[in-house]
Parts: sequence; structure tokens; C-alpha cells
Amino acid sequence: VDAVRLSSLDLTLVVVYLVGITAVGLWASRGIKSTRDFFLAGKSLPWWMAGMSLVVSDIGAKDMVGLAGDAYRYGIVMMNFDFIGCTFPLLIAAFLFMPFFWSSGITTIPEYLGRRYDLRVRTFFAVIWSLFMVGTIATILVSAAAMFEGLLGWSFWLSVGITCVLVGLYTVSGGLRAVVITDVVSCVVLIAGATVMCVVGVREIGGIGVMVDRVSALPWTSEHFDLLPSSSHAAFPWPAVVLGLGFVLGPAYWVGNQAIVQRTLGTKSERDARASYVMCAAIKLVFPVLLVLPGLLALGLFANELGPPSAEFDANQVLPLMVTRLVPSGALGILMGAFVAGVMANLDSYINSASTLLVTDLYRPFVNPKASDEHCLVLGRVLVAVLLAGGAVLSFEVKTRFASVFEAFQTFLSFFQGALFALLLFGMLTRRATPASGVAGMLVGVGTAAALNAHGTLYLWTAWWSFVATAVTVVAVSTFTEPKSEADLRGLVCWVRG
Amino acid sequence: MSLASLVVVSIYAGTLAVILALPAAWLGETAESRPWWRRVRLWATVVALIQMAIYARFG
Repeated sequence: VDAVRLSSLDLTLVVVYLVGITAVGLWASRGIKSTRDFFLAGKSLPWWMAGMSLVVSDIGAKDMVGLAGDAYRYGIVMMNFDFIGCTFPLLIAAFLFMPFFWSSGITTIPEYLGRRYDLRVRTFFAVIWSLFMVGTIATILVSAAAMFEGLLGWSFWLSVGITCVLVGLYTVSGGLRAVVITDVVSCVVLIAGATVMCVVGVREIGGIGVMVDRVSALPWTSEHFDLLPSSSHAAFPWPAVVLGLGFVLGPAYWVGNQAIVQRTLGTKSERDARASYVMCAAIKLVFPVLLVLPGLLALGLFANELGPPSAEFDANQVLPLMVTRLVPSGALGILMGAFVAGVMANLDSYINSASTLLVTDLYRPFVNPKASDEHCLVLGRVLVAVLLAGGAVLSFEVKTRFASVFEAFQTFLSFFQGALFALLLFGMLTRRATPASGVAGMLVGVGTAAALNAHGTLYLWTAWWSFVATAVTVVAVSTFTEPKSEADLRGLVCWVRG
Repeated sequence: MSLASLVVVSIYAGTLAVILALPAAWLGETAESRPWWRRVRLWATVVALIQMAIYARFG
């Protein structure tokens, strides 16, 4: 793929975006006086801001590149990651989990697990999520560096340094409020950039009908227009998509991922918490088309050049090829702005949430239970800077084996998703789930996932069976162990409202 | 409609049924509280119906 050549107009648009988003973040940083302000935006966020922030906390530059490549390889089945993998869990979470978490007054999901089960469950998931987030911060910095190196010719360390300084400026000072307000801008830019790519591609190929005809004529695309492929599909058989993605991985991500849930916990009312998730679900109806369509357009336009998706096929070159061949000057600046928006919105969300987890679930319970709020606020800010610096150092290591490290982090997380969602579900829906069953379910679920992964099972099935193993264990162990009293469960179980 | 489509459409239909069955008071959306077009349940219904249509057509 040829290098991207930015005109002065494109460059100006990218720089204006970088400077503008940092200025907006700094403007939003005023009036932070407590950890509630810093970690939860003072519980003042309106539903529409939280909803748009949810979208860009999930979708980043890596998704734009990755989904286009996977759509080239597998077709519209990839839309399921935003349809049944998002809208279904978002609707369930909007009416069941989120208003409930909001009113229970928690700051983090491990905090809920600790109050519902015990400290062991809380600590286990806090450590797991913290490790995952630090790894994710490093991988996001590597993608940022790759982008700036390609676009502006900056060196790796200059790119990482400038990204850290810009994001750090408003995330250290403004906490969640600054993160969410900048995310709103990023969401608009991301949608605009993705739309530009699709419009340019559709015009080039001559319409959607032509694209469908050309793709269908290729010999390896028999299931490319099946949203739910046959049960014999090598990567995405429909039962695994429905059970693994729709019932476990999607809900675990949208209900259990601190970087996602935190903006909803910062909304100003229970109704805003619910509405933010429904708004995110509505936007998510559009994104699958914007992210998957470029991959299908590439199939219609460049299949002879890119070839069939064999084992050596590099899916990450699909979108860059579309960009370099099709996007005109000016539009390229908007598209690049969308990439930068995706990186910054992802990065600030993960840094803010990692800091929240470390202070709330590890520092306060284990290191300094008597720490004052002012002390924790300062620590939260220091940790944001430390996490950025740590991510920058780690990013150099990650850079040399980016693909394998990114995949390793995703695989690592998939070990815990089934167990996490089962514990959240049983914890919220039944007062009978006991603390002992929480610990046993966690161990059995993670063990099952590790064993299945070692056996080479498809990750969607791994998630489903680890969920089932945790659920069976929670039910079994709860029958002969002592549940918490009704007073202890007040505000933690659906039927025992506070 | 294929079996796969039928299963997914049914999942969304079930979700929609649960959302519609929730008591208005529990959601804080009684008749006096806000106009119909500002109710979260309405927009959740629209999203669920669009998803059902998409899976019925392309599943």
C-alpha cells in the first residue's frame, strides 16, 4: 500500500482537530474538587453526552481498520458485533442493569461484585481489568504512533509523546467530564469520517447494486451477504454468534467493562443512565454499515489486487488501500481526523477508568482505607499521568509484536467474560447467590475458559461454555452455602431495592 | 425466514415484550411525567423493531 500523502488542507484539518479537542478538554476541566467530580463527573452528565461517549469508548481507529479487513474476509456477518453483540445487550442493560447500578451508588463494577459477593471476587476482577487496561493503553499508543508516523512523518517516540501530552492535559485535570465532552466531539468526527469513506467508495464502484453483483460473482464469497452464516461456517457459525456473542461477550462487555460503564454511572439521573444506553444502541444501528461497507467495497473494487483471504492475507491493508486510492484532498483530512478522534477517545476512556479502578478497588481497600477524598483525588490524577507514562514505556515493547500482543490481550480478557457476566446476572437477579458461590463460580468459569482455549475451541464457544460452567457452579454451591442477609443485599439485588 | 433469523428475531421480540411489560412507574414514565416522544421505552422499541426487520431480511 502506498504511503498517504496529505495536502496542506488535510494537514490543517488534522492539526485543528488536535488543538481544538485539547482546548475543549481543558475548558471542560474546571471545577473538579472531589473524587466524585473526577471519576464520575459529579454525577452531572446528560444522557446524550454519555450515549455518544459510550459509542467512541467502544469504537476506535483499530475497529475502523480491523472491521473493514474482516468484512473483506467474512462479509456482513461482522455487523453482528454491533447488532446482536451491542444493541441487544444495550437494550437489556438499559432497562435492567444500568439504572440499578446507578442507583446503588457504585463507582466501579468490581466494587459492586465486592458488595454483592465478597472482597476476593472484587479484587480478582479489579486486578484482571487493571492489567487489561494497561495493556490496552500501550496498544492504543502504538496505533496512534503508527498513524502519526504515516501521516505526519513523526518518529515513534515523538508520536507517543505528543499523544500522551495532549490526552494527559485534559484527562489529568478534568477527569471523566473532560473525557466525555471530548468524546462527544470525537463521535461526530468519527461518524463524518466513516461516512466520507463510504460515500467515496459507493460513488467509485457505481452504486450498492453494482457492489453486490461484483462481490457475489467472486468464487469465495458464497456467505458474504448472510448476516447469520450457516452452522458449518469456519469462524462464525450462527449458533456461536447468538450464544457466545449475543448472550455472553456482548453483555459482559457492555455491563462489566469499567471503561464503558463509568460514563453511565456519571449521568445525572437513573433515567439519564437508561437513556444513554438506548441512545448508544440507536447510533449503533448505523455504525455497522459505516465500518463494514468499506471492506465490501474493497472486494468489489480491488479483489484482483488484494486477492482471496488466504492464511497470509493481511486484513489490515484493506482500509489503507481504499484511503490511498479513493479519498480526495480535504475529505482525507476529515477521514484522518476520524482516525485521530478514535485513538484519543479510546485512550482517554481507558486511562480514566484504569485510574478509577486502581484507586477505588485496590488502593482504598488494601493500601490506605482511611485515605481522605482530597488524597484520593490527587492520587487519581497522579495515576493518570503514571498510566500514560507506563503505557508509553510498554508501547515500545508492544510495537515489535503488535498483532500478537493485541490478540493476546483480547484472548486474555475472553477467559474472564463468561464468569464475569454470570456473576453479575445471578448477583442482580437472585438473592440466593452466596459469596462462596461467587468465588467458586469465578474459579470454575475461568478454569473452563482456559481449558477450552488450550484445546483450540472457537472463542465464541469458549465464552458461552465458561458462562454455563459459572452459572451451574453458582446454582450448585448456593444450595448448600449461606446467602447474605436481606439487609446486606439492599440495593444490590433487583428485588431488594434500596 | 431461516431458522437462524427466526431465533434472533424471537430474541428481540422477547426483549421488546419485557421492555413493554415493565411498569411505567418503575421506569419513572407515568403519563404526567413526560411527553410520549421523550420516553426511553419508545426509542428502545424503535431500535428493537429495526433490528428485527434487519435480521428478518438479511439473517
